[in-house]
Amino acid sequence: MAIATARHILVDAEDQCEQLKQQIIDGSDFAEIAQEHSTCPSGQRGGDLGSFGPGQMVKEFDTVVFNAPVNEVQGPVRTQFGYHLIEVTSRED
Amino acid sequence: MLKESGTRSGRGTWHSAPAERNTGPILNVLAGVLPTQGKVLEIASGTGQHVVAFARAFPHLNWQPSDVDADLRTSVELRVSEAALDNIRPPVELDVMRFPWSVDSADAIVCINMIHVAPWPATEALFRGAARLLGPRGILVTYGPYLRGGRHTAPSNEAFDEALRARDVEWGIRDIDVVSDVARVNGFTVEDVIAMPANNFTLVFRSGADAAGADLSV
Repeated sequence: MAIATARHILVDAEDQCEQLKQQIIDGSDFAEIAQEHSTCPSGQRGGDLGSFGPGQMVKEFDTVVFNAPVNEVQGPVRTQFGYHLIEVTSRED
Repeated sequence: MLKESGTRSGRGTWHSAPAERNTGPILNVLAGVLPTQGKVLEIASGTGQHVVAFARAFPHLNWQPSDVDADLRTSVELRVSEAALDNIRPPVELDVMRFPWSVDSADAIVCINMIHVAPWPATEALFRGAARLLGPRGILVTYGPYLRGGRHTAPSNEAFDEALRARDVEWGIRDIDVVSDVARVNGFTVEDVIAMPANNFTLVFRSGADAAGADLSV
């Protein structure tokens, strides 16, 4: 079974999500941005979500984690929790 | 904690004696607060004893058990499979501290004996997550030991609290007022506080129209 590890940053507004993504593209540290801005408790550990298999997260999230290129920031991805920037940090298919 | 106090059968199901005793009283409370139809998410299903009994008692509701612990999910899965009920799904992995949750909707959430055996941020995450999952007029029910007005409700609870904190410094019995404050910040109203047998309480929270838009940054 496929297994992936990922980290994310969760915020309430799409435009804030876009701005944070640009900051990361411009060189800001993902983990530091997560720590400062993410509303997910995982923000305290740099956004690290640990590992999971397909179907363990809601569909919108799952699709990114099991299809997107590794080590590339994806998003904004909308779930009922808000807007996410997601980075798949490893994946074994 | 459950796996320290409970017993495990050869086939992999966990059993908790307190869960056996408190199922009836909790059922009686749920009968008065759960919706007449829809989906109920149980967070921290543990052994699976509760969710199977609830699914049997409330056949008009669809039950979704969950737990963060893989071993306990196996127990729930076995019990669900043995019960052969058509209104209960296999358990899903759900860590309240990891957004988004693995479930994308629910009309009610039941969370029994989690708040005191988890770090305080897990309680904050429970209410933040529940606010996002439940629509307006959704119900969140929590059950367990609590402080009231900053005080333990029985000497046995005080000793239990000390044992919890010795086991993990981040665990402990929480105050109903403090938990209720977190609930309100996330758009819930405290609908009822019900004294239960063995110095426990059931707390009933209702999500407001603005719960889905509650400020997650608090």
